[in-house]
Amino acid sequence: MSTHSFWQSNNFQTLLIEDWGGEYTVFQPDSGKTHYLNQMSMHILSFLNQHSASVFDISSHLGEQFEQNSDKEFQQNIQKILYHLDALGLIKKVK
Amino acid sequence: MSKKPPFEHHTIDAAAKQKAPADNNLRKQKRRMLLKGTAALPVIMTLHSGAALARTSNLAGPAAPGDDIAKQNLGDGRGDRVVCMHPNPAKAEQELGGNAPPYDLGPAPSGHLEHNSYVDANGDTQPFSDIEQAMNCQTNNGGIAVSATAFTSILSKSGATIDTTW
Repeated sequence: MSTHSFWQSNNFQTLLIEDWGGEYTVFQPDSGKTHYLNQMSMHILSFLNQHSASVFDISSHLGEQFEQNSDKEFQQNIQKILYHLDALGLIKKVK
Repeated sequence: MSKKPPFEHHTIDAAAKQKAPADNNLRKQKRRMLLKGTAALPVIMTLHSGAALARTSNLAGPAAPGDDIAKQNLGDGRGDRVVCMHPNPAKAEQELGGNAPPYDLGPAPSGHLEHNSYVDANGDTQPFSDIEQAMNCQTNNGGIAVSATAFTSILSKSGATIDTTW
C-alpha cells in the first residue's frame, strides 16, 4: 500500500451539500449523481478541500478528530475510501 | 477544531428537509441508527434516481421529453423495456374535464399506445419498432413510460382498455 500519494478534493466548490444531522447528501453536478456520506467521509472531503494530504495524514487527522486509533487496518480502510472517492471524481491524486 | 466539517452550505428544496414524524417510522429510525453506528468508518453510497428505479419496476412512471428511454429499450441491462402510453382522451374528457395530462391513466387504467404505427409511402400501415414507439415519450410530448411487463399485465389481467391504433 502506497502512503506517498497525495490527494485533494476535486471541484468541491461545485458540490451541493446538505447536512442531515451528521449525515450528508452531496449532489455532484459534474456527474449528476447524489451521494450519501457519513460524517467521517464528509470530514475527509472537507479536509482534502483545505489540504493536499497522504493517506497517513488523513488517517492521523481522522484518528484525532474521531478519537480513534489510527492503526494499519484503519489506514487501509481510509485508503479504500480514497480510491472510491477518486473513482467518483470527488477527489484526485496530486502526486 | 470542531468535528463539523467547515464546508460551504448550499440550500436545496426546503420541503425536502421535512423529516417523517419519529413515532410513525420505527424502521427508518433503526436504519438511521445502523448508519450512524458505522461512524467509526467512512461511508459513501451513491443514491439512485427514483425515476430510474420506477422505470425498472412493474409500475408505470411519468416520462418527460428528453428522458433516456432509448438506452432503456436498447437492452443495456438497466431494466425492463418500456412502452409509451398516453391517457385515453375520451376517458380524460369524462373523468378529468377535458385535458388529459400525460401522466395519469385514471382510476381504471385506460390508455393509448402513443404512435404505435405509421403509414408508409405506399399507403400501408406499418408498425413502429419497440424502440421507435417508446421513443415517443422522449421525443414528442412526454407520456407514461410503462414497463413492458406492466403493459402485458394490464392487458391480460386488469381489463384495462388499450387502444393500440392511436
